[in-house]
Amino acid sequence: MDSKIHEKVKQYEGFIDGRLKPDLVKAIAERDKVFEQQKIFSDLRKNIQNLEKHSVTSLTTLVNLGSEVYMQAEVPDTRTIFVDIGLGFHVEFTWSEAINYIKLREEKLARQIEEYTQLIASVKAHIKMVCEGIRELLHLQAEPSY
Amino acid sequence: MAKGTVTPMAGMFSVEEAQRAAQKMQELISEEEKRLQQLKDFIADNNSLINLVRKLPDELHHDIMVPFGKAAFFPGRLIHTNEFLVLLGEGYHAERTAKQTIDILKRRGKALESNYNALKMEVQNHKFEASKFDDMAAEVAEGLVEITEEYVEENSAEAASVSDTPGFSEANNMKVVSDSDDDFSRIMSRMDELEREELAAESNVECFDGEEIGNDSNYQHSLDAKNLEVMEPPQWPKEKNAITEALSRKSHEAEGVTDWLTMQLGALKGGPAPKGATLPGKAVQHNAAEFNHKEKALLLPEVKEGVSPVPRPKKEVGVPASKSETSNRESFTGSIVEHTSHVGTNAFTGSVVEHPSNVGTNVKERATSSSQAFTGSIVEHSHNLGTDGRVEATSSSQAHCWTSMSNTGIHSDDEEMAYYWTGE
Repeated sequence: MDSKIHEKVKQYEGFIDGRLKPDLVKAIAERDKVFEQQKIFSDLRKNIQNLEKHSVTSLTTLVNLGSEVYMQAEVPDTRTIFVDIGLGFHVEFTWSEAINYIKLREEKLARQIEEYTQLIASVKAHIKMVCEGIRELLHLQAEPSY
Repeated sequence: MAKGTVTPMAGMFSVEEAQRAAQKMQELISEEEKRLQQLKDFIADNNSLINLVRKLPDELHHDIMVPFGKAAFFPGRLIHTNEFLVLLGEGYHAERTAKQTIDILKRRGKALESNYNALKMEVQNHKFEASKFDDMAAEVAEGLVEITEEYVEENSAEAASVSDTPGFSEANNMKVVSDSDDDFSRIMSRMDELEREELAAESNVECFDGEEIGNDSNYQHSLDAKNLEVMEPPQWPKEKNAITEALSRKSHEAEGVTDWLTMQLGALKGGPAPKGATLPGKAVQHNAAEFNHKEKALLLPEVKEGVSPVPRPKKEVGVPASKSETSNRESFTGSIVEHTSHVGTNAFTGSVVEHPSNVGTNVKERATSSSQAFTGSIVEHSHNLGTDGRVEATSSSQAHCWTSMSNTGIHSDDEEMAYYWTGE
């Protein structure tokens, strides 16, 4: 009887460590990636809004050539901007179109984050459940000794 | 009977431990290889950047897409194409021309390369260690047994009487080469060879196995080395002795045999032309008798000397005798095994085992001395030992500490000799 219980406990623990915990880790990693994307687009949006506010027509920047070696670059006309829409495509936008697009993009990302959060929550709940099961088994085990 | 203990190697290093150690090394190696790959990528990037910087000043302006954050671009132009801002670290930048930038990048590349090479050496070392662990695990799995026996000295008188008795009665016995005609003729032919080698090796004295022992000893060793190559099968037991002597000499700076050899040469040089003269013969026989003492004289801490006068062996007889009382083996690290046709073989830990044709099963006991200094074994299987020899040979090979340094690559026709030796 004891041995069977021990076996089951071992099984549950193995399941947690082998399956549930890695799932949790993976889900959290994916969600973090989406967070990053979201931050990038939000920064871009803020920048474009800035440009618009100050009516900046041209600007000079430092371009990273690699290994932190920079070179001056000049942007003569800032009215059009190419935005990455995914799958390797960049679309030429005006400022207002760009801001629009970025808004939509951000909403999509927020939805994705929501999904991941739910997934993470469910994995955590599973882990908790299995732990409870183990505890029950052990309690039942302990009872006869009272 | 010799007292001894048989300890299975599995007792010392369990199979799992050896395997785990090997595994850990593997993991370490894989990590290091990842870093190695990373460094290689850095170097490649650096090189491509050098090329780019070299090409940019060719034009006044370059039309490019200027990135704006991570997800947007502006069409624009590169201007001031000869001015580069290089990050020096710690928030410092330097504005440099293209040529100066290339110099900076080249210096960085050199530093990266030296890192890469150092890491590569590390990886190679670890790979070697891992392979050693694997071998050890394999050996332990095979069920190797380490046999340790106390080293008990015995003098010539006893040895002479014992030599007729089958089997070893004491550990580490070196049976005296009795004054049999066989020995004499063997020794004489050995003398001839030595003479030949001496003349031949006059001009090219090379260090025997690369270890420095001293000019004379080197010379002797080179002689020995050549002897090994030149010798014929009948000379084999003698040569084996020479080998072991040379090896033990090398490792443990025992000069007994060297002295003996130098003595022989001295006798040859000083003696009359005919080699069959009684002088060398006498000296040989006398030395043959003393030979075992010499071997025991390995205990003597004296360092190798040059040619020593003939009477020396006499002196040494007394010394080893006295020394042999003490059976501590700190200084003894090898044994010279000499066998006549009817004598058994002695061995130290992982002894050199010489098996004359009719020793047969007598050669059972592996006298493994408990010398702390010795950690290698010379294993010799002779064709006529049969299974016994095999068993002891494998069992007496200890692999827990060996280097390939003193591997002389000596081999004779029939036997395989595995030399495991520490550099002590």
